[in-house]
Amino acid sequence: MRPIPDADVGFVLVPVVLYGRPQRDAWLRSLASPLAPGGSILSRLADAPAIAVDPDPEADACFIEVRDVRLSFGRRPVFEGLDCRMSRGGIHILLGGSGAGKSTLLRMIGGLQRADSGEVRVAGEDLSRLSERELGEIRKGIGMLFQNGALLDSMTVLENVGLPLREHARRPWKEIRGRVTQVLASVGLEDVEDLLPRELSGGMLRRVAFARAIVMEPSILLCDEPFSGLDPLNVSRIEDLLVKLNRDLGLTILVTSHHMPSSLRMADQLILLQKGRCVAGSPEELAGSRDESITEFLGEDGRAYLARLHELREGSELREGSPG
Amino acid sequence: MIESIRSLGARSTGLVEGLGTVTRFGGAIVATLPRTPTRFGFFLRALYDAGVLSVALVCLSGFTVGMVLGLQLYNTLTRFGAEEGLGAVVGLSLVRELGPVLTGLLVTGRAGSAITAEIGSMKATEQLDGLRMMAIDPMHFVVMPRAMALTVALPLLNGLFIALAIGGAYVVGVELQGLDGGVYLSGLEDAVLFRDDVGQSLVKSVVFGMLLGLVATYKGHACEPDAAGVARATTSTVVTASVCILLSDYVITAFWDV
Repeated sequence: MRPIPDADVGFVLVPVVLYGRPQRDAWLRSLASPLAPGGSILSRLADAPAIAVDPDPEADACFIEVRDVRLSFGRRPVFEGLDCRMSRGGIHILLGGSGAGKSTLLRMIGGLQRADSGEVRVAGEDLSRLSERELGEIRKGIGMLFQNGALLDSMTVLENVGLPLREHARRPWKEIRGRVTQVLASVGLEDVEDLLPRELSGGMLRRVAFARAIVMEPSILLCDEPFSGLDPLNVSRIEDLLVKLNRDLGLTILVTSHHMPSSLRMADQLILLQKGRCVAGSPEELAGSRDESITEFLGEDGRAYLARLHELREGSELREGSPG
Repeated sequence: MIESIRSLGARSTGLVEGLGTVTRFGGAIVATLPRTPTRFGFFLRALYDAGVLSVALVCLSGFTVGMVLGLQLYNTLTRFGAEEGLGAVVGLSLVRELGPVLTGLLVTGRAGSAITAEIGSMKATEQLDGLRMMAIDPMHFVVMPRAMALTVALPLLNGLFIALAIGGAYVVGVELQGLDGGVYLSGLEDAVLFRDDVGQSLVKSVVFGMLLGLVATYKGHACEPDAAGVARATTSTVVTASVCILLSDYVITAFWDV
């Protein structure tokens, strides 16, 4: 991790250190404005290590790396030598049937679940070797959307979304409110700051949880079924927001989803989990794959899945090509 | 035969392992105490839930226990012509034993189980994991304020229970049975010593509060993350904390004068 001299310099440097793209400064300044004069949230977190970035392209390609991971719950094996790599700045979609281990893999990358053996590396750090406190430092650079939202019942929307800012940026609620309102607006929510989670609909809950996951401008975003329970308008809104966060800020995004159209539109890489192992590639590579080892590995279900993927892509291309 | 020995061994090591886990958990709570922010707001909220919301139950229970105690003891003491001793006997039994133990058991049922259920359901709905992912330690954010609230609430509620129970016994002994009020109060004043009796009561209620705080938060934190797991943990909190309170009551009483 490069040293950050002070908050002002950190204002410029931290986004670069975290994301490696200077053009994001303007965007970050716009995010910082509600919290002026303190500077951006990231600048105030300058002393927080978050996620160190190695400019090495090889390191970029293995930003998140899972090596020979084995995990069982009781007698049921979940992963049997799982290997996969996720590049920095990509959108990676985890696909697979129920119980394939999609959510478990996300939890492992977030350091919430330890493997029986093998390594899970994030930005070169082997999470299995870190203490809970060290994991906490890594997690400052990771946002996670849980399947059921995981909002704190006893806190209002403002307190829920503003909590990480309050804890790590130590700003008063008055200042945090502006930032929270801005992030909530980006997920299509207005005037909900003072409501409790039980007063929100399922779709609103998920969007509040999404707002909480991105409020700290993390460098990695883990989303467990971000589209479930949302109406088509909000599916499109969240999808656009994910793509925008990825393109503008270079966030590395991992999504588990059963929502095929969104997955296909967004994905830089599809990771198909099956029988404790995985096959990964771009949507084009997987849909067009005739590799016997891959189709054999996927089995009948997997082949049917690829065929469906192929159909959907062709359908989507036809729609895009058709007038109007 | 070998199977029974093996089973006994497994249970014994399981028990020791469990005690070690609980002790480590208690140590982790203590380790969060000096950390900043202090979580004073959460502590006050937990104190309100565990303490203020238990006041009505404690007052009602204290008053009725005092009334029953007054009636039973008055009738018994009258047989020996010693009804003047009512204040002393009521005071000593309430301050040294009944106050801390009954308050402990009442708060276990009222607030301890609620804390276990709350932490358990936070675990089941991934709220604790959500905190971890925000780099917030649930031990500091959720567990410590609640454990501390129980530790602080119990001595206060104990005092309230004892005061109401003494009042209840006064109503029965003096107002209904006709014992002289001055005799009742002077007997009480002479018999109850600050260091030996009030001190013991205070120590007991603090220890019971700490035990209840530890058991309630641990059971919630360690429960299976589903509805049945939360239900089992809640039941287990009531049973375990009650047994801990009764056992530690004996230990403190036995060693107090040594």
